[in-house]
Amino acid sequence: MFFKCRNCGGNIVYDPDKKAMCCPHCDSLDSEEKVDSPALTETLKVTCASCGAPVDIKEHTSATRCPNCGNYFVIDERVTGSFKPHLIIPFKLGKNTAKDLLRKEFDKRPFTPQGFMTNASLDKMEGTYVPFFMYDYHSDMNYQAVGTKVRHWSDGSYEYTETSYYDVTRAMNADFDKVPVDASIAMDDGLMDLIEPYNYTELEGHQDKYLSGFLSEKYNMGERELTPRAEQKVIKDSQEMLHASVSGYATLTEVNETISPTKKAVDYALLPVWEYIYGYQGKEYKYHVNGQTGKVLGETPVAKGKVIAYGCTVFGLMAAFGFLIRAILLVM
Amino acid sequence: MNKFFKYFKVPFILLAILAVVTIGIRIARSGKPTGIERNNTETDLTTNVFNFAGNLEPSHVAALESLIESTEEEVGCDIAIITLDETLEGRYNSQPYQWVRDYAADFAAEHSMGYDKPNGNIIIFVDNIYREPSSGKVHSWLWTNGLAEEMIPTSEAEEIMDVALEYLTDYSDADDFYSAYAKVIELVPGNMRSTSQSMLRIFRPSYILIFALVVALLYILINWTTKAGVRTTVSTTYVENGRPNLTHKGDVFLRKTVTKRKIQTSSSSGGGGGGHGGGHSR
Repeated sequence: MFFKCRNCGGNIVYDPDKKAMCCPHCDSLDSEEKVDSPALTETLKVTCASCGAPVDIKEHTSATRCPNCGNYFVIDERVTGSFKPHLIIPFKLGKNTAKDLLRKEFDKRPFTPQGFMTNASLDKMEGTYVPFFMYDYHSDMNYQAVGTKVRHWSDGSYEYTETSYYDVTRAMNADFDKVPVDASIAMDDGLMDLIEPYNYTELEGHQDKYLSGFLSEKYNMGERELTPRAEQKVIKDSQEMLHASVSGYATLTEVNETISPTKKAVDYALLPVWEYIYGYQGKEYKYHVNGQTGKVLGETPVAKGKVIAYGCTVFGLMAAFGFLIRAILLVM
Repeated sequence: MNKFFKYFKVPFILLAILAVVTIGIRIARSGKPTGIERNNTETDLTTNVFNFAGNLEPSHVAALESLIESTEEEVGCDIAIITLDETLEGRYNSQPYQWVRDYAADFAAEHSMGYDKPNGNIIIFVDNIYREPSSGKVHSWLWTNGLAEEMIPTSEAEEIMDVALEYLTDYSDADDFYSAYAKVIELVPGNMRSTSQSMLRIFRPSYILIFALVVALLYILINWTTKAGVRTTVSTTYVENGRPNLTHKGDVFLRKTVTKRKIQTSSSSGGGGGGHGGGHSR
């Protein structure tokens, strides 16, 4: 589908700053008209509903930009039926805000190469809706350990150590609400875990219009396939809560620990991520900005020439400071 | 390039200020002496080691003379080493261990010692290897006057003596008297240096270069970060109501054990006398 402006015929996109559908050509707000796209062919080609050019579609793409006319459109088959997301958090941060956040985080790092985080390169940044499954779990936890408390005192001649032993038991349960697990192969699982948390109060029912102006994927893997990852996260959090409930002991020797997670429900959601890819010396460096909270992730490339230049300058400065202080002390 | 200068702007400015201060201080102090000048012309002493006991080899006496000469310039004090092998009984109205102290004071006055002026800055180490019958001990004293008295309190003098006299066991010919006396002289400057002189020991060229290298390497290491991000979720982030339901909590006492250990006490040794410097008796 393609969102067309009723006033000028241009491509209407969702503007996070205005929180509305906006026509970048005539500045009309909420003047969108949904135009159905031709069906996706078996060879993964689709005809752009705006300019009619044939566009190659990747295996999991659900929203993209036509390389011919630059207009954004949504692949109907990838957002309907079993692929229809239940929930979505629309982009809250616009591209310029995301660029500023990236610059703020990385521009001060001294060893980044020339041209890193310049406006020209940051313009290539794309907003992407990443598919997530959100799992609701109930977790029952039990813990048993032998704990010790130690007390020391002395009477002048002897030092005494009293060790008291306790049978420590805890039982607790917790209801986990919407534990997110990314369902995109292209996105690194570790990075997607780090980009959390999203503010769920802004979760809303899915609307296709939010995809216009951004890239998007349908889930690459089913929720059953991802259940072990969700369960792992629930067990890890349960363990942490269980251990946090025991305090005041010098040592704890675990006797028994059981965590039984039970899956209750699963939602399919799209969550917003700004992605910037920077190529340096044949390697791709990926940067992600949480499209809702602004949390920034990414590793910076290191320019060896800058390491030498900055390192030598620090060495020279420290040596100069030292020798100047020595020169003062010599005449005091 | 602009980014480079912007990045190092503050340290460059600080360095420039320090350079200006250094040049200013050097100009202001140019032509002024840096140490304490020898002004005493009244003393009749031409040597520093008085080997009355004869327990030092001539080569050792020469070596000690040389060591004392350089140390005197460094600390601005007249320094003398006196060895005795005679009883001092009946000469002073003080305790036996204080006779060496009084001997040193008399010696200094008799020869108008003092680096800056008569009765000025003086350090005399007296070692009487004669075992006094009245105390059954041999006595030593590090006597100080003037600046040395201020800079080397009794406790410090006793510490110097304790370290140096480790070389002496029974005051026989087998003892290494030279090393003991040399140690006394070597330890004196550590207490006599001014703050700036002490700091100069830290600001040696080799130390400065090593420190600068370490800081530069640390700077590179810290900035060569490859960490993609930090976890900002906690175990309760996705838990309803923000906390789990604790349904059971048990902390049941089982038993207790008590162990006891005898406290080791160390024996303490007594210190020497008061007044100028510190004494040592064995």
